[in-house]
Amino acid sequence: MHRSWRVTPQETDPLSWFTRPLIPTVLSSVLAIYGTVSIALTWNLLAYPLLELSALALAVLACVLVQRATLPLRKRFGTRQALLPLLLTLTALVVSAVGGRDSQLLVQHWWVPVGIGILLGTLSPYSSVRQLLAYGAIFTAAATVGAAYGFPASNRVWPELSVMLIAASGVIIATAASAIFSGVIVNSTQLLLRGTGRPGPVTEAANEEAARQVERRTLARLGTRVAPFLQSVAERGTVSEEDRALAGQLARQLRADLVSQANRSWLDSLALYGPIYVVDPDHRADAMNTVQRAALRGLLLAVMKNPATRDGSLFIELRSQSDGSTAVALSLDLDLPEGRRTMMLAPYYLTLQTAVQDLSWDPARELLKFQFPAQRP
Amino acid sequence: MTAEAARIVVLPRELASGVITTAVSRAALGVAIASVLVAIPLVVDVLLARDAAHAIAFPIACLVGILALLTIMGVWPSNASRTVFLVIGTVLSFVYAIALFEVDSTLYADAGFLFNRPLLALVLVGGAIRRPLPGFLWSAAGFVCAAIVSVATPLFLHVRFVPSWGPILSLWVMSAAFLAIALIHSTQQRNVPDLAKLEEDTRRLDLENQFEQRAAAIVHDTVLSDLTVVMTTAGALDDRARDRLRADVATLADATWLRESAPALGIESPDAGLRNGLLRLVSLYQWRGLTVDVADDSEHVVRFSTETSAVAGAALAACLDNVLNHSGVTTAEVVLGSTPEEVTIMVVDNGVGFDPEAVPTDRLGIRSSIVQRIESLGGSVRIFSRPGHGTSVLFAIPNRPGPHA
Repeated sequence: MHRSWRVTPQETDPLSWFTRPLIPTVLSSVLAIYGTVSIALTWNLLAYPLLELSALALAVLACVLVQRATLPLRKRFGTRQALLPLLLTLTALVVSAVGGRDSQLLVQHWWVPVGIGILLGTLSPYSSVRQLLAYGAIFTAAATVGAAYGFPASNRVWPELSVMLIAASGVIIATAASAIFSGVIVNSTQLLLRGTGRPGPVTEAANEEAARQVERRTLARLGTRVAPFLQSVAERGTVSEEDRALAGQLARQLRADLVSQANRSWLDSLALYGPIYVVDPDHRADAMNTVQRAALRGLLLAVMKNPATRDGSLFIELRSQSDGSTAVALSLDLDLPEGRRTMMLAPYYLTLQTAVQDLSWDPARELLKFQFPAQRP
Repeated sequence: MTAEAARIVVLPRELASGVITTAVSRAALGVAIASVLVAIPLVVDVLLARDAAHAIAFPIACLVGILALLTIMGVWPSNASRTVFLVIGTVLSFVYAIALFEVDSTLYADAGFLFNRPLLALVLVGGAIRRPLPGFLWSAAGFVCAAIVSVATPLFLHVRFVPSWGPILSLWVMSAAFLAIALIHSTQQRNVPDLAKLEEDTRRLDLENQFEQRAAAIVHDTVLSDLTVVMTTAGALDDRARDRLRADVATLADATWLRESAPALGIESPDAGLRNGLLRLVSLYQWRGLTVDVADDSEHVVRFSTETSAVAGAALAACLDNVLNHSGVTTAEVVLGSTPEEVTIMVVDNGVGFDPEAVPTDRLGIRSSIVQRIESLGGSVRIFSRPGHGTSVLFAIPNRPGPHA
């Protein structure tokens, strides 16, 4: 089976779904409205309309559960998280079919196939093609059996096979739509990302600019005292006691400067310009690759620039693990309501998720944790 | 998880929005095809149940025609194929409805589900549209076509109009989907950072850091070394020492030294480069008071680029500096070896030695001037030393032109 069939849109393009509660919220509302209107319009044909309403409540609850499980900064939504919503919808189907057996409702007016389709639509950004086809196959079988059992009255218009076909068609169509949606996003995104897989080589201009910056800093460091001193000693051709003393003093300062520079990681450099406290006793920050640095740097800069960040509240600690990987804990203290804080962090969190392992967010402690593996030589 | 990815693996938002719009458009095409496909067995089953097997072919032909148009639109999505689909699809949908009505007039009122399958397909026109607004406009055009068929059919047949909810629902769903995409896109534009710039800045900072490390090594080898010479000299400096001070100050004033790892060594050709560099070092250190014996055990050609040779030479010079300044002896041996895979350089002295584990972290000589240089070539450094038992430093460098070649 093609690899892309096992990848979800959420995994392949996480940023598109950081507004993801919107989709399940809208679809839950659509299901509630559609189901209520359908039941209301066919109320007189139903034997047990309250039972239908109960089934609808179960189906809406399934969509709401998906909405809760896909809030930003939550763990990735997988089959395990989908299990309860799927079971609830299946239960809704059974309840509705049992309740419909004595009714006069025609199968094409049964709200359940559309309800199942809405659930599949809700799941589609977080499910792979393979998962959606599996869910769709189960629901198609269930809808077919449910229609055969629950809608004998339809036989005055439709042959028995057609009753089952009509009930199944809603689910088949929704399965096709959701699987195509998921597959197209994964395939197209992977294709586009493959084209941007490697950064371009460092250009001569970039090289030149970096060299110029470093030259400026180095000359500023040496130019005021050291270089003129050495030049004067070279011109005079003799070394006095004062020269030796000054040389010792300059050498100590220069050495301390060089040591401090050599020990400074990219995180320490960032801390020079913002309210962030770095604990990195094993010098692990420099073991992060460029992508990990860029993703973490983005998050830190965003938090540092945010006026809601309390002074002295940013704390990052890096610790070596026995397997060569590095564990990172980032503590934040943002003076923002939960919703705004989540929306502010979400894009950075999701970007970081593509670059590190075991990323987790503890909202109560405002603590972000992740690991990055030992780099290959 | 892509911990070792070369880029941040998220698409620019404009591209991602285009991908989602295309996916919605493709999913709509899938719904259209599935709807028409499901209608085929339904028509067969319903007409067979009404003993109208002879009338099956015509409506099925209409459905197959619509399917063919949908397929063409899917394979070659363009405004032309969409227009053709809408025009011919509208005609086929109308003919299909008439054909079913001719078989059983009660079907129109009771089995609207069967009638509106092609109409659903008309609203789901698209194929592969990349922007929400054109997607919505095409759906609206498809809805108008479906509405024409819905109204024309009862007018033509002189029966009471029965509303068809499927196309209305489809238009509503497609409009909501395209509107949601447009809203999500604008929300993301406000909230998503400029990841490309972030990544570029990070790469620039990394590049500057590499230059900083190189600058630190050069400063350590030149200025710091010169200051040490001044500290340990009393009275007159000889001409070579003065020349060296002038040369070092002049070197630092010109940024080109940042790109030349060992400006003191002018090494000419891949194989001779390293050996010639060694000879120059021997001469240089002879003058500074260290006798260096060179043993060449190499059996294969050294395939270093000029820059690789220069970096290796600079690391070797730093190593000899350490012997000169810390070992307490006046002789050292350099052993050069090579295999097809790697080149090894060993510097041996019988001096005071040291405990490598006990070197304070604030000592730069070994770390920045030796280890970082050799590691930048993909090589490794091993140090064998014990207090009172001399020191051997072994560089192993891949025998290839090098990362800068």
